[in-house]
Amino acid sequence: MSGPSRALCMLLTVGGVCLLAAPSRAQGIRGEVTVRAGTLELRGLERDSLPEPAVPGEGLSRTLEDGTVVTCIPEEFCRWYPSGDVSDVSLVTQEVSFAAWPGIEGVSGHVHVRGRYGTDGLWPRADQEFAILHAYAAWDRSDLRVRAGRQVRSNGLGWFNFDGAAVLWRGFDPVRLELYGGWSLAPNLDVPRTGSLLEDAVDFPPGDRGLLVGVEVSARAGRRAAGTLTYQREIREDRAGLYGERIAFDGRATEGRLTLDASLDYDLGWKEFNEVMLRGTAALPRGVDVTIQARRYTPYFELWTIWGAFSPVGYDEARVSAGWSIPETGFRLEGGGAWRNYEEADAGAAFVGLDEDGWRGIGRARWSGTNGWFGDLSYRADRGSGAARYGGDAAMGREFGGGRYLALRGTSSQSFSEFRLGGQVTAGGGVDGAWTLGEWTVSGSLALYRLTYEDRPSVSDWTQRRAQLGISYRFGTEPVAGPARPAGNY
Amino acid sequence: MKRAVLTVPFALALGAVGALLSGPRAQPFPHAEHAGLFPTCLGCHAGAGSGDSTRLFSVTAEDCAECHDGAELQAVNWSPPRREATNLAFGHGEHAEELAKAGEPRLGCAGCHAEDGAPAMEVRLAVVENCLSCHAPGEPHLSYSVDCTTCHLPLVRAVGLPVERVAELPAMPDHDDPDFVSEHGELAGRPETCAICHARESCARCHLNADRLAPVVALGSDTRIARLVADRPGQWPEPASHRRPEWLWGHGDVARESTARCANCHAQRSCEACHSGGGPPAVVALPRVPAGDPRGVQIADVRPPGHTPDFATRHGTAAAAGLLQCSVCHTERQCADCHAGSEKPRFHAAGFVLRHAPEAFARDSDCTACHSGEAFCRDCHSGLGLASEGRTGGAFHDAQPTWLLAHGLAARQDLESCTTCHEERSCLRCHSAKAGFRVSPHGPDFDPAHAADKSQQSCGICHLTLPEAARP
Repeated sequence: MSGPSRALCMLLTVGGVCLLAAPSRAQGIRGEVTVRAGTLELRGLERDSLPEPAVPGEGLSRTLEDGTVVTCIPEEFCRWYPSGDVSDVSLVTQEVSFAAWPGIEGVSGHVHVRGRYGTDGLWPRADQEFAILHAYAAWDRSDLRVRAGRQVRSNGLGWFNFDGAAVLWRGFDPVRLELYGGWSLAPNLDVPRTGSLLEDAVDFPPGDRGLLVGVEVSARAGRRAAGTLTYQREIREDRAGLYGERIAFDGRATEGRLTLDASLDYDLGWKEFNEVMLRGTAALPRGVDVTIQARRYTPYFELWTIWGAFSPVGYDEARVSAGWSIPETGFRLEGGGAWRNYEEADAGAAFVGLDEDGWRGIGRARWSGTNGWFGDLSYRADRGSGAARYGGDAAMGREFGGGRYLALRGTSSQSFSEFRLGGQVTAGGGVDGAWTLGEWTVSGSLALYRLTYEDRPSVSDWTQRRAQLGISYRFGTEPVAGPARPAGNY
Repeated sequence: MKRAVLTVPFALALGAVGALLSGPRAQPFPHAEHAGLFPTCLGCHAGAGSGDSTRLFSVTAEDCAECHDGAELQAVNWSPPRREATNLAFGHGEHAEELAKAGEPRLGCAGCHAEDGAPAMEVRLAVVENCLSCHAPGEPHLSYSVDCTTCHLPLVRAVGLPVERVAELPAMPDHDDPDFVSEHGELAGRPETCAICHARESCARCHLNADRLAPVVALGSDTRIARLVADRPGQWPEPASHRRPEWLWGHGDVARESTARCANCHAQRSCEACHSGGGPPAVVALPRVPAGDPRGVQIADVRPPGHTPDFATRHGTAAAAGLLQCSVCHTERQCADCHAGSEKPRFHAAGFVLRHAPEAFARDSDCTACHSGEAFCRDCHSGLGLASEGRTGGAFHDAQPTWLLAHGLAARQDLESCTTCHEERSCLRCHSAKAGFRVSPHGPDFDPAHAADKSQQSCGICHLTLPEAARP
């Protein structure tokens, strides 16, 4: 069955379940329709060049009269990248999501679809005109939950959707067991890996759809400790190889004011620990909280790509942060920092001197008054492999209750990229807000950002304008009584 | 029993006298000036002896004029006081009758209407201490040890008492106690005491479930109380149990076991601040108040322990562990708002896209939790001319003539970032076993047998003459 046919089949199934059942007290529908329109200005880079002999100087790197640094290929040309024209880019996004309870005990249907209409291809994924984020039917009883269709999974391996079924068994409380399987989708694209989105984006797209199978086992000790072990295997539809095979453990334990989190992700395909994390958070008296975290991170690449064979290295990171809340005044102060060090890469010329460690510092003061006014000031410094940035943000506004607010925001930062020439200063701000009237919510924002460049005369300073408007309408309510659920599931 | 027999008539008698004597306050009869003139009170107050409450003031203006004729004594313009309603439950006749039945000696008028040791005709409205000396010896007037109903009617039955007088009714001393609001439920077992001063509206000001509480319903409704509480907001002080750190996680058990108790202060709206999707049965069972109704505890922005301010980027482990039961407060749609969202949530700071490079390089938060590196990041980078493919052929490493020497280290450290601009062919120009410089991209720990075992197709891209041949 082709992709569109399968999607249509799922929609019809879910819709049929919702519409064909007789009305009852437990029948209901709840949903939201949202339309957002956004426009912003983008400016890219163009390529320019001169014949190499026409550029004075010697060597691969030379400087033009206006200070522009060019890269020269002897006896051919010297190349640089001046700024291009500013383009106005617009995107309209429409989303419809609803959940319906047809009146059959424990049965519900859930759909979330999205349409995009962009003025050109500059806005990412603007050409993905229609996407089904999820469309599944569910049967939920006290010990058993079954979902079938396109559904979302959120577990230790991330957040993703797939087409298939999931069966959750809660009858062994406090142990839960869930099995899921079906056809996998390209992560965060809502389409199969064989779809055009991925085919257009990579040189060697996967040739077959992926078949997914996974199991999650969760156990808990009261409300003090819980853990989930997840195993997931994704194979090519032709069984010729794997797209991924991973295992994850996530656990949390609390004792009084202390919370301990532990996470471990292991890639059986590339034999790498993608993440090992241990974090302790202590809520101390007088509104003080302290978090200490140790983490090892290595990027994950699916097996259909070649990137894992390039032996990416990870980093070890230590992070400390503290906060002090003063509820009587609505103030909260936060501060923290992190330091990370990359694993030995065994690559590159040592004399080039790229950063092999990085650090981060952040300070923040927030205020939330009882009359709805709020303020937020923060400063953040990041320096590490690839890029650095120093700057702050400020916001002030008022909340009027019921999801209504109006805020002014400003920002100023200086950033550098380690792997290219020059720096950039971004300064600007805007106003944003949301207003709810009954079932309708209108939200919008206007912003201006001034971008100035350092050491790049060929790139002119400019001002980016942005605007966004969204309107959403919620409808319906849930049925009077939901499906039966076991004690302790809330 | 004897006490009960005495109580009712005494209360009725006291009420009647009080009702009549408390009337003409503007023109009180100067009893003391007439001391010794009248041999008995019953000359003027015949009803007090006969029990006829309509003749408690049997004296008339003509009776006064017999002496105050304007000749020997100054003429007076006095008339019996107007009968004014009270909340007293007393009748002189009934009181006397009960005393007689109980074998108690007849009580003289001064027994109630004069303070101890007062001279003759130094009388006043019934002295409360005198009533208490028999009915609650040694107890103060405003005390839970005193049976209020002995002398007083429930407020809803004292229909003639004007609203101004209702507002002046004295409060029990403990009503000023800071903990009284949260602990007064212990008094629910004796609603008759509360009923002397309160009506259903008194409780409904705070109790959202007033119509479901038997002691409250028993009070009855009263328009005077409704008027008095109309502009007084409810009070819902936080009980000590709610302030304990473990309360947020543990309150579900309490709610399931005693939902009705929660409904004293909480409407469904209270819980919906956190519980999404209609909430658990205990929430559904709570009263629902109309939109805009200020009644009920208002809960906003409750952050459970561990939901530190950076939780938005740190919640993955907690969510996956299963302890938090995220669905209690969040719908899957809310997850999608961020993870599959377009522009709705303000997850990133304002203008983030213009300065996102440090976060992206450091993977401070997991970009791939929401974005596709190939079809989102690269889509934009190539459109702007930064990527190796696209309209400029790659401008990011502009003016970096020695970049080739550095790129190996950068690629190993930041390969995720590299792939947001570079497609495979960019690297395979050199790093292929069958073409170009044939530079191996593999690190020292690379296990080719294991990689081939998992996915030969990927190996074939570099190691077979035609990469496509590796694909069936």
